[in-house]
Amino acid sequence: MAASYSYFPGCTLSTTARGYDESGRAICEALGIRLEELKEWNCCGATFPLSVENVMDMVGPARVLIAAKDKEADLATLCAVCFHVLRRTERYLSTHGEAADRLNQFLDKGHYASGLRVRHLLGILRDDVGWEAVSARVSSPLGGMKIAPYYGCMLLRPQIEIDLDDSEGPSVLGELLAALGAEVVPFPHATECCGSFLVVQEPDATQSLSTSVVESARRAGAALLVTACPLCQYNLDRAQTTAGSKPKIPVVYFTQVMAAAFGLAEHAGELRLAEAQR
Amino acid sequence: MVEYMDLLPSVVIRLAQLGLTEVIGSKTPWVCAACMTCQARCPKGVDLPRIMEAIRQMASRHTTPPLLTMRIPDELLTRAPQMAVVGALRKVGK
Repeated sequence: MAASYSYFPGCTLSTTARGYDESGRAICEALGIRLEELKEWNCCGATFPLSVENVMDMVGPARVLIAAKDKEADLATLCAVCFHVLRRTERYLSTHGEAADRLNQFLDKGHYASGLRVRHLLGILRDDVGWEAVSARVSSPLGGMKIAPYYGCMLLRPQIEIDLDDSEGPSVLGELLAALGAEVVPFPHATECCGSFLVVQEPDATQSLSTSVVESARRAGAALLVTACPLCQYNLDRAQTTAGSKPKIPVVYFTQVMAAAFGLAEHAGELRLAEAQR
Repeated sequence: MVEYMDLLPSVVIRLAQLGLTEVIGSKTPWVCAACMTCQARCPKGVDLPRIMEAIRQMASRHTTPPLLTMRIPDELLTRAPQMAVVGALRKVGK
């Protein structure tokens, strides 16, 4: 089971979402998953260029793919947006040789070649490790804590390119939470958008979307929201700081829930708080 | 999200089909977060996020995109994850 992967943390996990990175590394170590961070990496670009003819916008993610290709191991990601951008870029370039040639002419060092598998840790846990092995590592079961799995957009859509889960009825986060001993709380807004990067352009619109998600989870009876995306985490958390009197539903990363269940309390983030309030 | 748009996404697509240039001045493409929900659910298989991006790019040739770095409030510029700032500037900014 001790498998090795290249690891791309990305910008946000190296700064404002450090807890996601640290808890991710800790639970991987606990499960015998070896993550080897790329020696040199740059920003993935944070958005996938939908006008794909403009290969200049793919230079950033392509450089990451080139750095990872040298390693002969699958590239693991935690940030849902990095995963989305790198996976779609790899898929596009590997199926459009002319675009790859044009892009290679822009690059001063390295050369893009297809064949790298870009993976999200959730897919690695499900497909390579397996829920039984995850369950077996649990030392502090969550005691039926009511947790709502929130997927958002980037982890799922478009399904034909991302291919991690069913974009309209995903199950991977729920399966993980069940393996950890939580009570999974399904809710109708699990795959709705939180407002994404529009938080800096249209903060009110983002506030409104994120509030809908949080209130939907609250109505379903959730004590905790779980996400795989630092931007969803920020938006859902921010929506609650200005919402008024309702008690806060902590928004944590799935890796922090795993850390709590594995007895790695120092990596459990706000979950410790939620535990105390139970 | 629709309440922040001046034209419904379906109207944008219809106007574009008819070749009407008023879509270029619409606010709607700039409020599209490219969440791809409409694309996933469109019964006709229309790739709306790509069309919205094309309209944004056409509009950018005539006008300044709505988001300028100096207009981002300090609270967001200092606290929001940089993926939000980088993503927004690449999609709807300059």
